[in-house]
Amino acid sequence: MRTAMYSAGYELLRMTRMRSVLLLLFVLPLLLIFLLGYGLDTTIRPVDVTVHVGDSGELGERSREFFEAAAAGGFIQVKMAASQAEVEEDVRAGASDYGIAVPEGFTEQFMAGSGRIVTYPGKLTEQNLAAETMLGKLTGQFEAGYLSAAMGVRVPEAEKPEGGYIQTGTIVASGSAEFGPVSSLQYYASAYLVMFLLFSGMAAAISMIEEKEHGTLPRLQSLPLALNAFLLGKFIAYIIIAVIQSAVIVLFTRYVYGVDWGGSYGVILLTVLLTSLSAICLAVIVASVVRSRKAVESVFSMVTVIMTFLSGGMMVGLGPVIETAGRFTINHWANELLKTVMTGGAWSELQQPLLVLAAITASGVLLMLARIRRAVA
Amino acid sequence: MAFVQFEEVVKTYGTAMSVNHLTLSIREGEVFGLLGPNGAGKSTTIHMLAGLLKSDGGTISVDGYNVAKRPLEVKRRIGLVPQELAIYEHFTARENVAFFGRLYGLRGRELKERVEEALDFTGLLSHDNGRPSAFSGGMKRRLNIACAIMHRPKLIIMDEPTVGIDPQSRNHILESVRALNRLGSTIIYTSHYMEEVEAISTRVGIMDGGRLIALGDKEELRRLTGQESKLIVQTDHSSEEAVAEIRRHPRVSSLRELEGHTLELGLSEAGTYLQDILFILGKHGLALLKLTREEPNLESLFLQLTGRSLRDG
Repeated sequence: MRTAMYSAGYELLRMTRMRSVLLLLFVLPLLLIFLLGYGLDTTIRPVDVTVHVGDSGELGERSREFFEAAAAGGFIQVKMAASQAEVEEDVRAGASDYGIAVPEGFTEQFMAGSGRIVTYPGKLTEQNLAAETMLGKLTGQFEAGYLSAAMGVRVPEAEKPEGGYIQTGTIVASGSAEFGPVSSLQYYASAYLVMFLLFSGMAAAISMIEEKEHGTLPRLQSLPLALNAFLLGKFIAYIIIAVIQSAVIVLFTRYVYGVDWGGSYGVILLTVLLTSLSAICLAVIVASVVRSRKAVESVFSMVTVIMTFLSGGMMVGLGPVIETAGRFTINHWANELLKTVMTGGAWSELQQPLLVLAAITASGVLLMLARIRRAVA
Repeated sequence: MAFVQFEEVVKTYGTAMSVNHLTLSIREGEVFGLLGPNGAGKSTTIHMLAGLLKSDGGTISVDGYNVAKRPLEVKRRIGLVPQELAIYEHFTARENVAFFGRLYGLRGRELKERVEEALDFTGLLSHDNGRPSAFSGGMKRRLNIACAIMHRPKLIIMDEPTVGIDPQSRNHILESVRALNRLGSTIIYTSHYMEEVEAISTRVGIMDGGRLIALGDKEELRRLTGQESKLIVQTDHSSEEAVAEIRRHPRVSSLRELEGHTLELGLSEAGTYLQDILFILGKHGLALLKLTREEPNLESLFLQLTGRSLRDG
């Protein structure tokens, strides 16, 4: 065990001396998540807003006119809903980016100084901002007394409801049609975290092969130690690096990009451990077949990219055949776990992906043990 | 009892026999030179001794421990200086030595002292915080040695430790080998450079085609191959009588007259001869201009034993 500890310690020291590796492990994933997550979210398209105007009074009428005028400007697409429940459902299903309900009796309530328009923000920040800006114009008109003056009614400033004329509705959005139950940022944060965990597994196998290619393996083999313990230390170091890498990605994307990772950090950690261990196993198995650093890099990178693609990590909506193929990848099950955590899934929903990922890892460990001697021979 | 013992050791790769029934004893405190061209079986022999390869037959023991049965005991006694540099480019010289020291089980103060000692011994103490990437080839080779000796092994195996380095570093390494030997280590030294092996070895084994074809100290090898020492004598003029008289001397087995009043004498066995030769020259009024003795070297020995030059491979 002491050998494994020293080996792990020195491997970590070695990694800290390699700036290119640090760049690859920490900066590149964040950059890719940003580019893909935001890039795909900020495509210019009108904001889909579902509106229900239940108020038959003057302000209800004015609101209808306002939304029609806004839609004519091309910035929003308005779908008029028959009920407030329909608005909620549209936003929940991802059919609309934003929902607005002007409730029945709003004019009377407004006159009494207590009326509120109910809003249902979706999960795309930019779309929400656009819809809220537009809505702000409407309520601004109310506040400026424009409508009230036109109606001969003056709304005293002191009677304005606390918090303005807008009340945010409480619904849990169920995501967009493209990215399932999560936002694009969540989707790509998860996909790229898993992909880079796989790459860090490759780094472990390369480090092992470098012992052979750089001539240090004969010396290690001549030492009074178990070579397997030494290699175990190496793998532990890369699992530690994977955990640190994941922590950086999760925290950075959470606080800088606003990615909601859910609350189950224990499950995220478990996912990271299982994914990085299965990646190491896969890389060692590849190394036992192709047996040179360059070949391992090429083959494993190809395998990782293919698995990421099949699991939808590069583009979504690939069709049922590829989606079925994707179920045979490490990425799919790791992503399933992370996405379930992100949407606050129950333990029962976590069990299947967790069991499959654990089974993949266990099989990988057994295969690796059978092939590791060959990889360093 | 031999410190290192090979007994009918065999190693095959497919149908090719890399080491062919090798039997060899190396005594404690020796500097044993192992010579042979590429593919002779030297590296395979050394790798089996260091536990890097398993033999297909026979037994190898070090200090009484069987390599196959007690590998850890054997490995604790061995320091291997591999032919390829076995150091980490991202670590400093000190970190490299300390890393291997820890893996040898050294700890704390003892580790620190041994690291200092090894770096000092190899002349790298003033470069202890430098990384090998900034080192010359010779310094890297010396660090390669430092990593193998810091645990004070009883047996040091040096596989071509001076490949591709400058003469100054080579001399430093050869001096280090002598010093390690004086400190009590048994050394097995392989090299393509005959002059190195000649300079430092107490005994030499010559391998070819997986077999040990000659073994002994230099004099024994000379006798084994029947090689002669040569005496080159240059005088101010020639004398037929002097040549005839020298030719009759019992130690002179052959005589060739060369250009420039020069004689090449073949000396067949040990014994006094120089005083007699000088006496004959003086008797015939010849003044001695130059006198050189040429000993048979390992290169010529190898050529005679195998019919080819060592570096032909």
